[in-house]
Amino acid sequence: MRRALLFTGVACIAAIGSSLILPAAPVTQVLAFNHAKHAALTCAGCHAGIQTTQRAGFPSPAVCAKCHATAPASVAPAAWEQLQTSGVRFWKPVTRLPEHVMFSHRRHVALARLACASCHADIGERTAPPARMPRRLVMNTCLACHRAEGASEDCAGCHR
Amino acid sequence: MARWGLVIDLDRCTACQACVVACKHENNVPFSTPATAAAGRLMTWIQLVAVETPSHGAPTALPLMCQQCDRPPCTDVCPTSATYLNPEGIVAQIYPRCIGCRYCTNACPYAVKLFNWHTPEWPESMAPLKNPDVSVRPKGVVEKCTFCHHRLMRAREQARADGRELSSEDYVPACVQTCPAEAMVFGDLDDPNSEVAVLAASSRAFRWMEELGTRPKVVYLREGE
Repeated sequence: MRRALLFTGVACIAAIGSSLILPAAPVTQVLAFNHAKHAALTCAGCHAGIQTTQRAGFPSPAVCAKCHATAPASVAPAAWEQLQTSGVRFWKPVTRLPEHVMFSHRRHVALARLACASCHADIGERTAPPARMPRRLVMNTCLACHRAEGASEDCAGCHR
Repeated sequence: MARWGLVIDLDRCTACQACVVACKHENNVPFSTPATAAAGRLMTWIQLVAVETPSHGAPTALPLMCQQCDRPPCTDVCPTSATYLNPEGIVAQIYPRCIGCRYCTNACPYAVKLFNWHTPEWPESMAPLKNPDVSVRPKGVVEKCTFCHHRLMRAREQARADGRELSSEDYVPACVQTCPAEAMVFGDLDDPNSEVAVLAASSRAFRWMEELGTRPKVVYLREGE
C-alpha cells in the first residue's frame, strides 16, 4: 500500500512537472487568419457563442463568406472554394482547458463582463494565428480573478 | 444559501429503475458487466438495494445513492481534500485531486463511493451521446452522486441571465426528473415552505442508517405498520 501510494505520488508530481515545463503541441491553422486586420469586428461577430453559450465557437465558412464574396488575397481561390463548399469547420482551438474544467463563456463574458483579453491576451492584435495559447492558463489564473472579484471559490463550481 | 435535499417516497416507488438509467446517462457512468458486478466493482451512482426496515413495514427496494451527509465520514479521511462538503450541502468529489487511495470508499457506511478499477468504455454507438457537462472519470479515481451539481451550475447561470433569483424549480437531478411514479422530490431543506422540507418533517420520514449520526440529506418516506 505504501509503495503504491509512493508510486502514485511520484507519478502525480512527474505529470504536473512535465505539464508545467513542456508546452502543448503547436497548432497550425488551415488559414493564416489575421486578427488585427479584422479588429473592426467585435469578438462576438465571429465567435457567436461567447454571449449565449458555454463554448465561444468558431465561425463557419458561411460567416466568412458574409464579407468575403471571393477569396481573400492571401488565400488561393481553389482552397477557398473548397472550404466554402465543404462546409467543414476547419478552425482548430488553441486555448484548451482540461476536460475536468467546466468553463462557461456566457457566465464570464455576458454575466460577469470579463474582457476576452483576460484569458486570451493579445490574440485580437495578432497578425498571424498563434501556434499555442497566447496566455498560459492555470488554476491560479482563475483563482486570482475569482478572489479579486469575490466570485465563488467552491471547487465543484468549476471542476465537473 | 440553499441546503439541497432529496425525499424518496418508498410507498410510491415501483422499483422500475428509471432513476438508475437516467443517472447513468446523465453522468457518463459506464456500463458494468455481470463479472465486474460479481467482483463487487459495479459502477452505478444509484442502485436499488433490498433492505428490511423493521419499523416501516415489509422488506423493500431502497434507491440508494450518496446520502449527501451533513456529517460525511468520507471527507474526514480524504488526505487530499478531493472530497468535501460544499457550502450548499453537496458532498463534492474533485476528480483531478483524487489519488485513488480509497479511504473514502471504506469510510462511507453506505458503500456509495465507487472506485474506477478500469478505464471507462462505452459501445461505439453511444460514444457521441455523452453529457458534455460531466467529465469522464479516469481509471484510478473515486466517483459518486453529486446531486447532478452541473445542473445547478447551469440553472444558476440561466437564472442570472434572466435577471432573477434561483428557485427550487430550476434545479432537479436527473433521477428526480425521470421518476415516472413521482416518488422523488428535490429542493431546499432550509426553506420551510418547500415541499421537500415539509415531507422531510412528516411522520413517515426516516433516514437510512441515521443512528450513525451522519445526518443524511436523502430522506425516505415509508408508512409504518
